[in-house]
Order: sequence, then structure tokens, then C-alpha cells
Amino acid sequence: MELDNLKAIWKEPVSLPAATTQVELEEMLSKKSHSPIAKLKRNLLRELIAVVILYGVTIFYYLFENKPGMIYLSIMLIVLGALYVWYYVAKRKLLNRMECVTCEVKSNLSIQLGILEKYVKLYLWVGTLLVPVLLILSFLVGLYFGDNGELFAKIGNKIFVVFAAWVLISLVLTIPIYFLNKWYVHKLYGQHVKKLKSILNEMNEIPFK
Amino acid sequence: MQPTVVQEEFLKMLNENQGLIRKVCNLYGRDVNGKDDLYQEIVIQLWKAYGSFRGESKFSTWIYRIALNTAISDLRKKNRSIDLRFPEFIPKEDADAVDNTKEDQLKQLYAAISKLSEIEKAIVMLYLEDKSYDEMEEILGINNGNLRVKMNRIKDKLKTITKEEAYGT
Repeated sequence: MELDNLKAIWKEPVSLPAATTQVELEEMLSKKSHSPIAKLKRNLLRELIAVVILYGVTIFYYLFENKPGMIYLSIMLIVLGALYVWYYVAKRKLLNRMECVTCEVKSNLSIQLGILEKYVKLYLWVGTLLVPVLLILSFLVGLYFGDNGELFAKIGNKIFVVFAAWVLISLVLTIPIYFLNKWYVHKLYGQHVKKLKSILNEMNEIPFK
Repeated sequence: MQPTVVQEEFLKMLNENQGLIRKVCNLYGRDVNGKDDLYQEIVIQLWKAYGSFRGESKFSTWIYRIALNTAISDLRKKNRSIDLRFPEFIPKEDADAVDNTKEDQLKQLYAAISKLSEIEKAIVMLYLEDKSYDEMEEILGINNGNLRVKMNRIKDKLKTITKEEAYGT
């Protein structure tokens, strides 16, 4: 097959489908984009909606439950919710920077790879660190409310030892969670990262003649 | 709803460049549905970027960048099945009218190109479209010298693929 001889055949005008009409164009533009980044953005938005509903309902429930101390539980949830919003904004900013379809193909893929790696790191570390934070906060809440609010007094002087032991348990539990998260994040994005790296390697390699 | 002036301009541009976009879809789409999905995705991306075109590069370069970026970034499992990748958009009656040898050659070319990597497909397509190496560099971001060497290697690869097909190995 002589490629140069085929240029003429390749460039011969072919019968294309009928020209796109205004209606067809509008229909196409009204559909959702299926690009990997658009899908990531949609998933992130779904996650945000789920968190807002879940946190909102729980916060209201505790706020209107006329029991002492419940207000602190609500405040704790609001703080956690605010941290989640920070996390959402950080992820969303990364996704917004991830795509440059008008750039050279190599630049676009490099941008995608660099930002996807940051995104994966953020996902992994926030998902991992959330576990000890939640465990410690739950411990503090349990300590405050446990045994009708008398648990704190019952433990007495041993409070620091108990707290230190709990922190230690939380940290130990974080180790398997880290590896579980790592496996999960790899399952979600591993193939994508691998494929981007392989395409970029191919673009960068200088073949021997 | 009345189309805006920008939408009308965009539609005109889209129809003028439909052949170019369809060729990208034929090279990168898995099957008929995959090709249609890719076409739609490219149209969406072109529309999103349409307002940002500042004429810094040729319009065709701009379209190629968007079409190839969309096709190559779509990393869904593409390699599950390989079809002949002969363009479906040639209606049967027209295809019959095409010289059989030419049709066979084009079929053979599409089949051989479908076995190349994503980047090799892009390089060979731009080469067949008679783009200069400078323009290919502007679209792909691979330097001129590297592109020439890669192109020679692709030509050899295509020869090997077609020989293997001919001898059924």
C-alpha cells in the first residue's frame, strides 16, 4: 500500500449525510456532553446534591430536637458541611482547568493528565483523612452525650488516656482505609491515567528511523 | 425558537466542514452509534469553543484541534471490536457507482488505519489531507522532525499490515 498514491482517493469528495438543519443542531446542542470531564462534573454535582440533602435534613432534625447539646451536634455538622463545600469547590476548580479542546492535542493531554493526577490525590487524601476526623468527632460527641451526659464525669482523670487510645485506634484504622481508597480511586481513574500516560509517551518518544 | 445570528453562522461553518469532522469520526468511532455519538460530541465542543476563535490559527487547524482532542480524549473502551471502518456515510447507490478498485483500496486503507494507535491515526489522517508538517505540529503539538520520522514509520507499518492482511497472517 503506497500511502501517497491513496491521497487522491482519500480526498475525493464523498456523499455526506444531508446538511445539518437548525432543528437538528438545536437537538444536538441540547443533549448532555459525554466527555469524561463532563461526566466527572455531573458526578461531582450529584455528590454535592446528596450531601446538601443529607446534611440539611440532619442539621434541621437536630436543631429542632429540643434536647440539650443538640445545637453543638448541628454546629459540628455545619462545620463538616462547610469543609465538604471547600472540597467540592477545589475539585470543581480542577475539573474546570482540565480541558482545553482548542489547545494542541499534546498540550491538552498533558493538562488533563497533570490535573487528573492532582484530582486523584485530593480524592484519596480527603477520603482517607475524613475517617480519623469523623472517628474523633464521634468520640467527642459520644463523650459529651453518653450516659445521659454523665460519661465525661464518670471517666474523670482517665480522660486523656482514653482520648489518646481512641486517637491511636483511629489512626490505625486509617491505614487499611488508605489502601482501600487507593484501590477504589485506581479502579475509578487508574485506566484513564494509564491511557493518557501511554498516549503522551507515544507523542514524546523520538522513534529511530 | 428563532436561531441567533451566531447559531446560523455556526451551522454554516458546521456544514462546510462536515466532511472533515466525519472523517475524524470514521477513524475514531467504534461502530455506527459510536461514530454518531462522537460527531455529536465534536459539535457540542465546537459550539462551546466557537465564541473563543480569534483567528490566531487557520480555521481548519482550529477545527482539527477540537475534533482530534475530543476523539482522542474519549478514552472509553474503543478496542473491543474492530470493524472495517469504511465510511457509512456513502449511500449504497453512490458507493456502487464508485470505481470498485478505488472502493476496495479505500476500504483497505480504513481497515489498516484502524489498527494504528490513536496518535498514529491522527498523523496519517492529516498527512492524507495534505497538511504540511508545520500545520500538523500546530494541531498535534509534536515537533516537525519527530513527525517526519513517525510518518515514515507509519508508512512502513501500514505496508506490513496490508501485507499481513493479504497473506492472511
